[in-house]
Order: sequence, then structure tokens, then C-alpha cells
Amino acid sequence: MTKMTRRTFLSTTASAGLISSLPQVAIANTNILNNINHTLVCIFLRGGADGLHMVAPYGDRYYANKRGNLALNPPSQSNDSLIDLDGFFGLNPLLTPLDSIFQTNDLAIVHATGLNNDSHSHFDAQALMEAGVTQKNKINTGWLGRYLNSNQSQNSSVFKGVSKSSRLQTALKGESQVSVLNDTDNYGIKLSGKNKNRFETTFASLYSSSSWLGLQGQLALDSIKQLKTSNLNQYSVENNAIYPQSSFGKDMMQIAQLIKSEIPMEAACVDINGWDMHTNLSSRMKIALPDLAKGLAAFYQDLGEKMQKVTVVVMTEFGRRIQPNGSGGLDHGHGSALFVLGKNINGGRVYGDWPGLDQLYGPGDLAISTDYRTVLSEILVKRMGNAALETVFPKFSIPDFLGIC
Amino acid sequence: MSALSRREFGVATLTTLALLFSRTSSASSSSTISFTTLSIVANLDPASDEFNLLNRISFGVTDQELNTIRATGTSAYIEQQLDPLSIDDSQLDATLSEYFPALALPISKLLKRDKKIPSQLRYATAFRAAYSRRQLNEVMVDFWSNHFNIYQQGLTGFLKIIDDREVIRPHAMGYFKDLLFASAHSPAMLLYLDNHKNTKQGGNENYARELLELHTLGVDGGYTQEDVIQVAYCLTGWTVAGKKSTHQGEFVFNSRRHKKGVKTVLGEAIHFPDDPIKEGERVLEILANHPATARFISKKLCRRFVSDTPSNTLIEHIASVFIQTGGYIPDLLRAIFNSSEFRQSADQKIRRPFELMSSFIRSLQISPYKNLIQKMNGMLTILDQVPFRRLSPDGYPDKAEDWINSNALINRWNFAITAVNLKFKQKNMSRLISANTIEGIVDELVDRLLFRPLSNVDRETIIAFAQNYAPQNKTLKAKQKRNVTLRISTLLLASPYYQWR
Repeated sequence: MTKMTRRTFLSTTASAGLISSLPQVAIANTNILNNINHTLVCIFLRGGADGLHMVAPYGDRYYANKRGNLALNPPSQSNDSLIDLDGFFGLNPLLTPLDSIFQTNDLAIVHATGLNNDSHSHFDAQALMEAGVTQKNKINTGWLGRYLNSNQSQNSSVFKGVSKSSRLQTALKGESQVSVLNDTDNYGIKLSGKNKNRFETTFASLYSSSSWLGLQGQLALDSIKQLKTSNLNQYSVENNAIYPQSSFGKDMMQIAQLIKSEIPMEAACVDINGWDMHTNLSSRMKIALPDLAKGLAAFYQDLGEKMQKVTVVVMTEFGRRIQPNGSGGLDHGHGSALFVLGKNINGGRVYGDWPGLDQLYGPGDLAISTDYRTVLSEILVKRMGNAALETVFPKFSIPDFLGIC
Repeated sequence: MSALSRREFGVATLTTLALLFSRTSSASSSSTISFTTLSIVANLDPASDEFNLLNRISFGVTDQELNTIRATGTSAYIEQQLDPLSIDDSQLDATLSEYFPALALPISKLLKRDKKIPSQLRYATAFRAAYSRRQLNEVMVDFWSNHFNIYQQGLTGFLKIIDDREVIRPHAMGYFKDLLFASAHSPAMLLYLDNHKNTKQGGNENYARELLELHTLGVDGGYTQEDVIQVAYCLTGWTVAGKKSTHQGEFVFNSRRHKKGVKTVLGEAIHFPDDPIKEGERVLEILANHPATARFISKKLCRRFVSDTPSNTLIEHIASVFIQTGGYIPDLLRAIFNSSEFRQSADQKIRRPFELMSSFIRSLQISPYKNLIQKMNGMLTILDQVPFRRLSPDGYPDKAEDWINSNALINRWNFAITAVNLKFKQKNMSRLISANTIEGIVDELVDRLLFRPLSNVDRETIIAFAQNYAPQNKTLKAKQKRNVTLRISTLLLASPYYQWR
């Protein structure tokens, strides 16, 4: 199947149930979209996801040798071989649901990217990356929090930024309205009728002080109120999308639910844990990768044309060592791969200069040729219409954009 | 109001204006607020010194413990808590062995892997937090269980019971070095962080890195990536005996898996070719005695007992005690409790969910029964602090921002509803209350549950709330009294007053 036919096939099937009710969408790639209506979904693979196992540089002549028993088979007819992307990189067949999106040019991959800091500590690397800096400093806000605060969208919703987690990710910390929304099901106080109202009213009074805890209480009550008045319950999964039965699947479905409910959510953060694979990487990826791919593909399909105004980024704190350790796993490394998903981006390409596996970095890691902030900056400017990059990424001089969107 | 002016407003109100203005502000005014610039402190009328101490060093304040402190005096009370074996806990021990017999099983029996066993440790831990008289010891067990975090899953689910019994509990109030050594020989730890796969044929850096970063020096403790690799080499062969061994499931040093040659760790050459297990042991010695370790452990202890942002002066002081005493944990704690910073730190720490649960049980005097914790466990899952279920090796965090947010607060409110209902199913709590009017019941419950005064405004608010359930200024009927007691208890446990430790 050629690219064109894949694309035509998808756009007709994906939006079948929707097409009549939607306005004509004709946005050129270079257009700057109205930021109020755009949502950035940031998925963080916690633990250091191995980029080479997701997108393998099978065309690098050192690949098979250096990867040893973790090397994936070059593209062929067999089911367990890589899916060719561009003659050099191949997609792990466990990520097959992403292939058609790549072929439709709605998925871009950046390789050899990440945080320009030599830390091999999960906690340091995550903190720095989410803060949007490369060295420790006194900044206690995150890049997305500062983005939300700087975009002046006149959006007063407490769901301007949403954390789909039990706690607020560092990236979202800032001075704007961000809420943790772990689960949209049965959100609120577990009482009924009059009792519920009485408790809400009384909590509003008990938590009315302008102390740190008081303000958190007010935010909580506001969030209950705003969800109550939304049309959250009218959500249905469209376009035959099937979300995986996992916590990631549930998170992505609920983000789609929030977007379709027209809650003015401009950024959402999702975590997937468990990427710290020091042992048995191959078998653990057999669970992790299909979950990731199915969750992303279902979200893309469910939202259909709404993906014009949604951008998904998948990132991780670092990649892993190139050569396997003694237990079929990989120790902490450096560069990894990053995914960008959205309609009307310049997808269908693997971006970034490939450093080559003959020249390893540090203790045997993939070097970084693209600072992850280069990618995020381009998305912020071109997709989200935000130019306040010096606030979002302080002390980062923006190089040329890759042309992803 | 712009973001900036609100920010200034937020800071200003912290000091003096808070109550005056804020009472009139509506709940919907929280847009563009700055949480990052606000201090983490309660802003409540002060509680008693005895309350503040107990609230910090225990899993929840009770009348009984407050009376003990008042009888013995603060220093004597602290000394007793620092010497847990001096406190009789036989009643709890008897309950534990009846309800959770798996805790005492030998390795061979644990390895039969009866699926019901791993959760027994979680329930027993919650039981101990709620009912042990050695409260500070339990707090330290919790502290070290997170410091040397192990995620209960598969085999480690069973072996963590051994780790709890033979590593954490015997050394929680001993020398840090002994604790570190025990942990490095703990089968559950070696499996959890993959050191059983760390061999001369192919290293595995996982345990070595976390040993340096999380257990001893801290990430800024001055080691390099090469040190991680060299420490991993020293620890090759530190593993767990397999099925063929008569010591299955126990620590074993397999010298055939040990990497030969000289290693260099933090500048020191390490080489014991005739007794290679000494290479790992030497690493542990270096780490246990390193000043960065003293500082790292001291900082964490100060964060646990003083505030989210303890001063460098205090941290350095505790670190010097660490070095002087060879890391004797009771001495570190005593130095913290004797510091002026500790005495002035009331209401600066947030109760984490596990602490909230044990406080509920202690405040409401819910009596122990086997399925109690199981009933509460669902809420603990939602609040994300089930013991030994932290996947990441850093253990559960200990800062307010990690535990308080909009969704977490709603979960806490629901948790209070659950806990109070549980108490009322066990015993109609209103029978413990002597007052028969709304105001009387409010005041008595505040004394029993909060041990500190409500502000006048909050008291009026709660009395007004109670009038939804019964008439004011009248002697209440039994059913009304029950209803009012239940509702007010819930409100108090969900209020800002109850969220601090």
C-alpha cells in the first residue's frame, strides 16, 4: 500500500461518523493555530525508555553487532521483523498500530534526542527535563506550567492544565491553573443529595483561607463545580477506536473525554511507569510497547479530525546503554527517541542527525544530536501559537527548528 | 486581578491579613494563584507543645499518649521512645501473631508462595502504625522502609517479609552502618535492584547506582558514572541462593561470578583476591563512613521531622552528630528533637495518606480486627501510598506538594467519610460523647479529635452545618445525636486542621 492510499483510507474511515457535523478543516502546515483551542498532551515514559528498541537504526552497520541479542531483525516479510520507516530506521513491530499513522504523516519521530546533561539518575534527569533546563538551579516551576502562564489565553478554567496522575508532575508546576485529575469517573465527594451540598458548602468555608492548603481546597471545590457543569457524560468513543484495558488506555480515553467535553484544557500530562529495564528488556517490551502504541492509536482514531488541534508528545528522561548488560537488559544511557503525533504535522519522517553507533557517548550511550527543547519549542510556536520561549525554556537559545510542524 | 498582584497578595496574607480578608473570598476565586511562592505552613491557632511533638514523632495523637507525656515530661518521653524495647508492646505482638502468622514464617515456608502472604505484611505494617506503643520506632521503620525501598511483586513480595523482619526492624533504631550492611545482604533488595544478575560475564549497574544515589551518598555526593561501574564490579557475585541450594532464598556470595582485578571506588583501590566478598564489604564501609552520606541521611531525617525545607545549619549539625556517633540513629533523632528549629516547626509537615489512615484509626479509637486495614486499603490505593507498593526505588516522597492537590484533597475528604462510617459500624461513637447539644458535641469532638482549638469562624461554620441535622439549643434525641456526631466527626477529620503532622 502506498502512502497516498493509506492516507486516503484512514481519513475516510477515521472520520466516518463525524464528517457531516464538522466544519471544513483546511489548515496549512505552517499556520499558527489559535492557542486557546489547542491541547498539548505530554506523555512521559518514566524510567528511561530505550529508544533503539522502539525505533531501530537497522541501517547503521554497527547496529546488529553492538546490540547483540537485543538486535531486531531488519525489515522482511516475517512478522517479527522491523517495519521499515525510511530505509535506515525501522519501527519495532510491537508498535505496529503507529505505523499507519506514520504513513499518514501524522506521526513524526525524533531520534538521538533528549536532555543535554550527563546525569544517569532518573530523578535528576526527570526533574531537569520537566523544569526545562539542563543544569540544577533554583527554578521550582515546570516548562508546561510556565507555558500555560505565559500564553495569556484568558482561560480561567482550573483545567487549563491537567495532570492525569495522583500527583502534579514537575512539568506542570507554575503559577497557572492546573489540576490533578486522576480519574474523571465519580469525581467528587462521595455523598449524595443534600448531604453532598452541605459538605461542599462547609468545606468552601473551612478551606477559604489564602494559605497554601486553603487555596488547594478552593481549587478542589472549583474543579468539582466545573466538571459538574461540563458535558462529560455525553462522551462516547468514536471511529471504532479501541483503547487498551490498561491504566494508560484509561488515561488517554479520559483525556479524549475532556477534549470532547470542550473543557478548555490546554495541556495534559500522562505518566507511564516501568521503563527502567535493567533485565529481560525484550520480554518486558512485549507488554510495554503494544500498550503504548494501542493507547496512542486509539486516542488518534477516537479524536479523528479533532487531532488538528491536539498535539501529543511522548518523551523519556534518557535512553539506555547501547550494548546489553549480562541480564538481557540495558543500564542507564543518554539519547533516546521522541514521538510527536497530530494531524497536519510534517510526520512520516524520522528527524534528527544520527550520531552513529561507532561513536558512543559516555559509558556507551547514544549521543544527543537534538536537544528535546528544540522539538518542544517548535510545537509551542507553530502548533500552540506561543512565542514566549525565553520564559518557557530560560537560557536556551533556540536553534533552527526541525520542520516537524 | 493579575497573576503578579495575586502572588504578592498570597505572600502578604500569610503573615497578618490572612483571616480578615480570606473569610470573605469565595471558593471560585482561585484562578491564577501561585502555589509555588506560598509557604507550606498551617496558619492555625497554635496547639500545645506536647501535641506538636507527638504529632511529629507518632502516627497520630491520642489522649493516652498526651497524658503519658504530661506525666513523664517531654525529655523522658522522648528517651523512652528512642529505646523502643523498653516499651512493652506484648498486646500488639499477640494480635499480630494471631492475625498475620506469615510474618514469622521461615524462608522455606515463604517460598511456597501462598498468594495470600505478601499482603499480610502490608496489613501488619498498618496495624503496627495504628496500635504499637513504640510509635517512634514505627515511624523510623516507615522511614527506612522507604529509604531502602523494595517493591512487593512476585518473589520480592515474599522476601520483603524477611527484609522487614531481619533488616529494617532490628536496625531501625541502631547504627546506620549495620542497617546498610543488612540491606546489602537482603535477598529482596538484591532481587529488586537486579544485583543477582550482576556478574563478571555481564554487569548490572542497577543496585550499585541506587546504593550510591539513594541509600548513601546522594546524587550530589561526589561520585561519577565510573564509580557506579566500579561499585557494580565490587558487588558481582552478591546474589540469592537458587532452587538447587539448601539455602534457597538466602543471601549467598558466589565467588565464581565475581569479577577479578583491582577496582577503584571514590579514589580508593579495592582488591581482595583471596577473599573477594571483602571488596563489596569495603565499599559499604567507605559509603557508611562518608561525610556525604552523613549529610544525605541527615537531610532526609530533617525533612521527615522538621520541614520540607530544613535549614543547612540544622542539616550540618545533624551530619556532625552522625560523624561523631558513627551514625547512631537515636543520637541523630535526639539532636533533631533538641534543636530550636524543630521546636519552632509546628504545622509545617503534611500528613501523608498512610499517616492519615493511622491517625484516623488512633483518633477515632477504632478497635483492631483482622479486615480493618483491608477495608481502608482501597482508599490508600487511590491516595497512592500502599506500603511496599512504590515501584520506583526512591520510596514514597515526603514533601507536601507530592501529597496535596485538588484531586488528592477530594480523596482525603472521602477517606474521612469512609473512616467515620467504619467507626460507626463498629460502635455508635455518640455514646462516647457526654454533651447533648450541638455546641457541646462540637466542642467535645474538637477536643477528642483535633486537640487544638477551632477558630471562632470555623466553630460557627460547623455549628451552622450541624443545624441541618438537629435543632440548636435543645437537648438532642439519641438518633439526632448520632447523626450530628457522625457528620461533625467527618468534617473535622476532613478539615485543614487534621491534615498536618
